[in-house]
Amino acid sequence: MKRWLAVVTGSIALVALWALPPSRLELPPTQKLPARLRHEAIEAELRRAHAALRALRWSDSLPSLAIRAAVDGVALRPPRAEGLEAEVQAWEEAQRATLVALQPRDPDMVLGVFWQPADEATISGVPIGVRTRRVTFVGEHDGTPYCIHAVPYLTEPGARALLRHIVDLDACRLYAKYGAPGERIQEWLDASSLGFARVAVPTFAADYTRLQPAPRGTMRLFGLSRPLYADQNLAVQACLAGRPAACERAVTDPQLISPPLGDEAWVVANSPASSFGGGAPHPPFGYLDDGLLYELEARFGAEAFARFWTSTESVPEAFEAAFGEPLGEWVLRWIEAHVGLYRAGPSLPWSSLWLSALTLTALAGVATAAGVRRRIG
Amino acid sequence: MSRPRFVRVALVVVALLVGAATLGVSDTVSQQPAPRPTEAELLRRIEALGPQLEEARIAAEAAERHRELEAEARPRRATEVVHVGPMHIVTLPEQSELAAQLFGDVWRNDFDGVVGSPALAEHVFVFQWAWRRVEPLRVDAAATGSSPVQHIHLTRAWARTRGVAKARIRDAVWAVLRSDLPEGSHLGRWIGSTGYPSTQRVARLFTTSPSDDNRACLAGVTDGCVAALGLSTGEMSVPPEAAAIVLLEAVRMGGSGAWARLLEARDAAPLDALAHAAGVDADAVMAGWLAAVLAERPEMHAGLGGQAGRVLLWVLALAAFATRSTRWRLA
Repeated sequence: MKRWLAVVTGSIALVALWALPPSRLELPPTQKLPARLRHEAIEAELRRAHAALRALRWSDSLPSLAIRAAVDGVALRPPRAEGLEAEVQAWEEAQRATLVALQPRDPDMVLGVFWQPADEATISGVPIGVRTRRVTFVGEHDGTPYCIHAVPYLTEPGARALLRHIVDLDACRLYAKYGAPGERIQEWLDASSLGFARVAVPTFAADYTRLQPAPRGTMRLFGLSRPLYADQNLAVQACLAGRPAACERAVTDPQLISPPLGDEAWVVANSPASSFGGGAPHPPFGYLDDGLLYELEARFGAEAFARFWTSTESVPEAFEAAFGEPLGEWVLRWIEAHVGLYRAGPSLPWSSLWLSALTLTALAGVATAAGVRRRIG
Repeated sequence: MSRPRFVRVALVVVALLVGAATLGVSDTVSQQPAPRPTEAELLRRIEALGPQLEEARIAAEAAERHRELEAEARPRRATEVVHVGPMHIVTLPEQSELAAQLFGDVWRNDFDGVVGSPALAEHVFVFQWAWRRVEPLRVDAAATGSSPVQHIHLTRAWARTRGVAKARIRDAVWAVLRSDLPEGSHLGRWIGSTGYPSTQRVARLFTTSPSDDNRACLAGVTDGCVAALGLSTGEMSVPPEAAAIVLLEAVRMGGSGAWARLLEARDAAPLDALAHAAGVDADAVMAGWLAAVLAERPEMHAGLGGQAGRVLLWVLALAAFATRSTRWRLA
């Protein structure tokens, strides 16, 4: 018997001696019991209903309050806590400075930023879903369009810390500039929970995406890797593989652009809340598309963007009419510029093939050189 | 076409038409968004869910208690108690020597100056380092009494080396020590809830940060170190683990009784507490911390050496295989 065969057989025998017969491993069950799952399901339903109730009650009072209190179309209500005067003043100045800098500006639109105690208009003792995330309300009250941010806070120190950061209008910035969108554009925005206008600085969204760790199991070889969103919907993957029709579907299909978390999606669908700030990355392209509308505005200019925003046509038609190119093709080039495309299908990437061939050639070269120089006797 | 056949065909056509019309209607209906629930409906829903939630909570707790009782009823393995410094370690008899070695190394190298920790004396460590995934070691109440238990349950798959095992033990001991400094105390708030500090990581981040305070500290200015550690401004410009390193360094400097002195002063300002524990002034504590951190500064260069070495090794190994092949040898 060859020596190597004996070594392999011996090793296998050793492993078999150690591991066989297979022992039955009895670990204490760690999965949740059905009774616990039922409890959690009821709690989640209660949380969702309560979050919807709070959103409904806030939306009943805030728009009329904003319209009554607005000065130059803006109503601000800072947190109601003592000792925050300096912070509040700085915050109000920052908010007004942001608004003054907005060009163009729709004169009819009323904007509001209201700091609300997180438990205001809630029922005590009942869990509140999405409780400290900023809520955006968009709509019309007595013929006046409005966009309102409600910022829930739990404690005074929390409000003090947040005051320094809550200065951006996010989605309300677009409403402030271009007014109420066309009906079908608004439906699209609602379906995505304003997901394409969450970050007013598109480069921030792009940089943030780049900083995200690679998805677990991602293979990285010589800097090449599977794309982000590999576990996403097939339409998203097809878009990443270079198909414009899939790109169009990825950013317009209501099923593909709705918020990822159950609570948030349910509350947005069943209450007047239009969106919640922060949270998990939204489909279809995670954090990357959070500033998509602002990228469009920066790329094509305010005039073209206003045509798109106020169009009464469907999103793809409005897009093509306003920007002069099909939606799917633009999205394809946009995603290619940010994360690149990849080859769909089961075949190996060309890079792997030629790197393998190169390695084999190099090894064959080494082996040949060694063989040619070898002398016998 | 005979009359009965005509009737049958007519019925089928009518049924198809009705079916198509129904499908069309249901399709139209399904496209309508469901109306939003009103406030009254939401309130009714919340009121109805309240009792259901309570009932489900009681049922879930009962089911979990039942599962715990079943687990308790299973036979237990024999254990031994090992003492290292002030620590009590419960482990399997065949691992008692190993536990004594590992805990002993950790104690000598990382916590040597920590004498008189009430939490460490009170806690019991349950240690197990298994070859395969097994049920965590359960110990009798007789072995632990009413003491709080800190489990260190390792498997070779995740903790392959003694170094990794010791790191896990170090983390567990530090977690217990930290409980001497509750978050309500000044010192506890400052230490925060960080894990056992990696001095090398702190050194790397500290020396490469562009903070002015860090630069001043590196230049030997005590006030810079105090500011970098958040002891004057409240905001740290070094990783949070740096606080834990200062604390351990101060205890080392203070020698015997330093931990007890630290606990005496845990409600004082952190810098005063550290100086009190170390038995020296704040400047000396900062200087000691800086020296300890800089001593651990990793000797790192662009990480090409190791990579290149590994690549070369593989190339040589494959080339060696290629030349030793008998069937396809070229010459």
